[in-house]
Formats: sequence, structure tokens, C-alpha cells
Amino acid sequence: MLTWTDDGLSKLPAKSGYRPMLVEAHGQALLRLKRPREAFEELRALFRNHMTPSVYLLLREAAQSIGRWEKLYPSLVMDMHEHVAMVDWEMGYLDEDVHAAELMGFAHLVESDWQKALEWALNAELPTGWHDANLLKVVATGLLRMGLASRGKGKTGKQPDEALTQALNNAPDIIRKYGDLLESAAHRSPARSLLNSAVKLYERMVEQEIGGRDRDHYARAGAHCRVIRAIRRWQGREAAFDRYYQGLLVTHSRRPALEDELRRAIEKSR
Amino acid sequence: MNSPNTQHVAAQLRHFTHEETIALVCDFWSDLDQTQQTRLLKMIEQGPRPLAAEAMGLGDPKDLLDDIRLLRDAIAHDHYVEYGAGYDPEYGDYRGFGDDGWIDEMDDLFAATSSFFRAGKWRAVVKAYLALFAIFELNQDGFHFTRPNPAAALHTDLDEMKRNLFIAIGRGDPDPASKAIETSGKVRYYGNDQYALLEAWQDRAELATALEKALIAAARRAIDQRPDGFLPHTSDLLREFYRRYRGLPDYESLCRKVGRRQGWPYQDLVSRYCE
Repeated sequence: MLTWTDDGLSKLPAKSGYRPMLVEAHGQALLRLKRPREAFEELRALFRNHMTPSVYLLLREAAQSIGRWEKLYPSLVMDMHEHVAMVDWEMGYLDEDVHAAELMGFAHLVESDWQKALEWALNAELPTGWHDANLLKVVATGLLRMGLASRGKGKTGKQPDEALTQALNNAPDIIRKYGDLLESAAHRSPARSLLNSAVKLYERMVEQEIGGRDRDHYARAGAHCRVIRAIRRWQGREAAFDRYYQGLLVTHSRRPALEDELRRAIEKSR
Repeated sequence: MNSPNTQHVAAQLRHFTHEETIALVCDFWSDLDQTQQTRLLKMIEQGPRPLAAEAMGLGDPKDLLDDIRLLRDAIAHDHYVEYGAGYDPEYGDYRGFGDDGWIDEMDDLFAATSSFFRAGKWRAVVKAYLALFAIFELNQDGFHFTRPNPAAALHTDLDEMKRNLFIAIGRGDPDPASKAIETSGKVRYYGNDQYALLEAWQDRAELATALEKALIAAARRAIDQRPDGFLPHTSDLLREFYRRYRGLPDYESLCRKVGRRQGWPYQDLVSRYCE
């Protein structure tokens, strides 16, 4: 593979969009050939302009194998933070900008730094990107996956219900692809805190959807509420959900369409 | 089949399965003398009669093409859009309002064309299918249809029609690869299968080889190398062709030939190495 990535890099035009992929594949090949130092240098340079989960994880692997991860991690977080801070979110942004923010949340989770992930997701106040790009959803479903793994079926024999399974199946791409890493990280964190944090983010998503002020948004708010209820059931804290749900109905009592969608999501499904 | 005897035979045969009918013909064949066998063989080689077309009074391919043209003209002149056009919240799109009759008419004309396809009238079939697919292009000219997406309104399996069209091109066109590539570019978005050409030709080694050669020739032109951008249709077809039917050594060869100008062959080769 090294031969072909070299060949491609020597022949493709300087502006070819396929070059970053070839550099990544080159770095990956070096890693597999037990040449982590060279891989590290290439991937580190690539990551500055190409902040994708796959490059991040390869770089992490290379840095760990040469004992440089502890030092590198804070600087990668700084790179991502700077990238996100440089974007003028009101003027316009690219999907890759939202993905950089998501990656930062995901990176915190992989390092079991779930408080920082939560803080980042709640305070970054990023717009929703195209497709499934959504920082809140990335961190929420990441925390959910970690929380369920932390107190997983191995320990209790308990299986996630339909709402939780659906939430995980519909999780953003980054969580579906690399969620296994989160499960390994989960065992260093308390399940209760992970799931409570997930609930906080789902509650934020409910608020955002309610702000959309139409049926489609209200239906999505209802779907998020169902996940909150499922998490609370999993925790054995159904009363907490009831209080939250009744509070929503009272707060938004002048929005019959919202009430209708919430009741449809919560009361007409078990 | 008008005589009482033939009507009786037809009535009996309706109870036969396809396999039983074949067995009956083979039994009958073995009892014939050589002259009679030759005659029957000729009839079989001519292919089945285009019964669906005959039932519509379109026994001659020229009549079929005339009917397609008449339908096209009627749609183009808004014969079916009787009450103007506007937004329809049910579809979330704009459309014409009026008579949906064109849907059944197009379905019937596709069925008639397919019966000519089964009868092996390749050249006529290509003309008829192309004329039918071209009717959908009227949608770019204004609201001539009573549905926002006319191709999706039909009951006909358009992917099957496209496969038939490419098989007919493969059998009837003097330069099938070029014609098929050009046609694929025109009809790819009707139905679900953008790669119906590859499906249709997968068992015809000589056609697949000619197609690959023509696609590689087209790929020698440099393209805009954005991985998330749209590929030209020829590049897209070549890429799918390699995904389906080619292995690592073929990809390496492809990189040597067109990798620099296309970019994606390197991406796909590396992905194959990583599998």
C-alpha cells in the first residue's frame, strides 16, 4: 500500500481532494509496519488541516505507541478549539467546521473526560450542520452509549428498550462508527453521571426543537422526550421524568400543537 | 387463433405451467420430420409475438412509435393539465392539475415496447424506449404533468425497462458501448438503479469488455478532483464497474492508466488494500 500511496501523492495534482486520504492511508500503512514515529509526523501535519475522526484516532494510536500522547492530546484539543473559534458562525460555515466541534466532544469522551464533553456541548452554541452533523446529538448519544455500557447487560442482564435502541441506531455517524472506543472508556466513569449528563443534553435538544415552532420540530421534541423517559426508566428514576414532562406541559400550555405531539410521543407509546 | 380447434388448444394450454408447455413442445418436436422441425425452429427463433402490442392494435413497431409521439405531443401541449399548475402540499412540490390518464397510457406503451423486446425487434425497441424516456424530460420545460415526478407516478418497473433498453442496444447497435454510455447518462435518474447498464450487460463478456474500454478512454480526460463532488457519469460508471467486477491487480492497472486524472482510483485501491 505504501508504494501506491507514494505513487498517488507524486502524481495527483496539488489541489486534488484525494490527497489527504492518501496521506492518511500512508500514515496507517507506516503504523502497521511498526514505523510509528514517521506515521506520527505525517498524521500530525495532516490533522492541522484535516480534522476527521479517522485521522485523529490513527494519530492517537501513533502517539500512544511512542509515548507522546499525554503531551499531544492537549495540543490537539487546542487545534480543534482554535478551528471552531475561527469560524464566524453567523456569516457562514462548512460541514467540516461542525464536524471539528463534534470531534472535540467525541475526543473528550474517548479520554473519559465526560464533564468537559458535556461542558463543550452545552456551551459551544453551534448551529446544526447539514445531515446528521450536530454537536449536542454526538455528545448525547456518546454519553448514552457509555452510560449503558458502564452498567451494561453483562452486569445486570438488562437490555435497552426500543427507544434507547433506536436512539443508538440513529446516532450520528461518528458514534456509530467509533462507539466501541467509548464503551472501553465508559468503565472509568460512573454510569449515573454519564446518563444524567445525557439527559441534560437531550433536554437541551427538546428546548431547541420547541424553539422551531412547527409540527415537525415538535414531533422531534417528542422523540427526544421518549429517549429521556427511556433513560430515566433504565436508571429506575421514572418520577424524575414525570416531573420534567409535567413541567414541559405547564411551561408550554399555550402551544396545543406541541402538547399534541408530546402526548402522542409519550402517552400513546409505552 | 380463431378456429374452434385452435381455441380449444389455447384453452387447454392455459392450464399448463411454463415447464409443462416446454416439455410438450419438445415432445412434439421429436415426432416431427426434418422439414417440419426446421420450420418450427424458424418460428421459435423469430421470438414470441408482441401480444401486448397487438392487443393495443400496435402490431407494427411504426404504429407504436406513432402512438408514443402522439402521447408526447399531447403532454407537451398540456392536454392533461386542465386546471393550471400550483403548489400541492401533499407532495410538497409544484405540479399541474388535471387528468392522470397519461400515467396509464405510458404504462401501456412501456408494456407494448416490452412485448416487442421479447419478440427481439431490437432497433425498434431502442427507438421506442428512448422516445418514452424522453417524455419525462418535458418536466424540465414546465408543469406538463399532473405529478411532480412523472417517472415515479408510473406503475411500470423502470429499472427493468432500462435493462431491456441496454440489452436491446447490445444486440442491435453497431457501436453498442458508446450508445449505451450515452443512453445511460440520459436515463440514469429514472427508476432506482443508476447502474442498470452494468446489470444488463454483466453476463455478456464481449459487451462488458467494450464498455470498460470505452469508459477508460473517457476517463483519460482530467476531472475536478473533489472527493465529495459529483463525478461525471462515465467516471461514475467506471468506478462502479470496478467495484463490482474487478480486483486489486485491476485497480493497480487502472491507477496507472487514469489515476492521475481521476483521483478516485487511488482512493478505491487504498480502500481495497485496507479491507
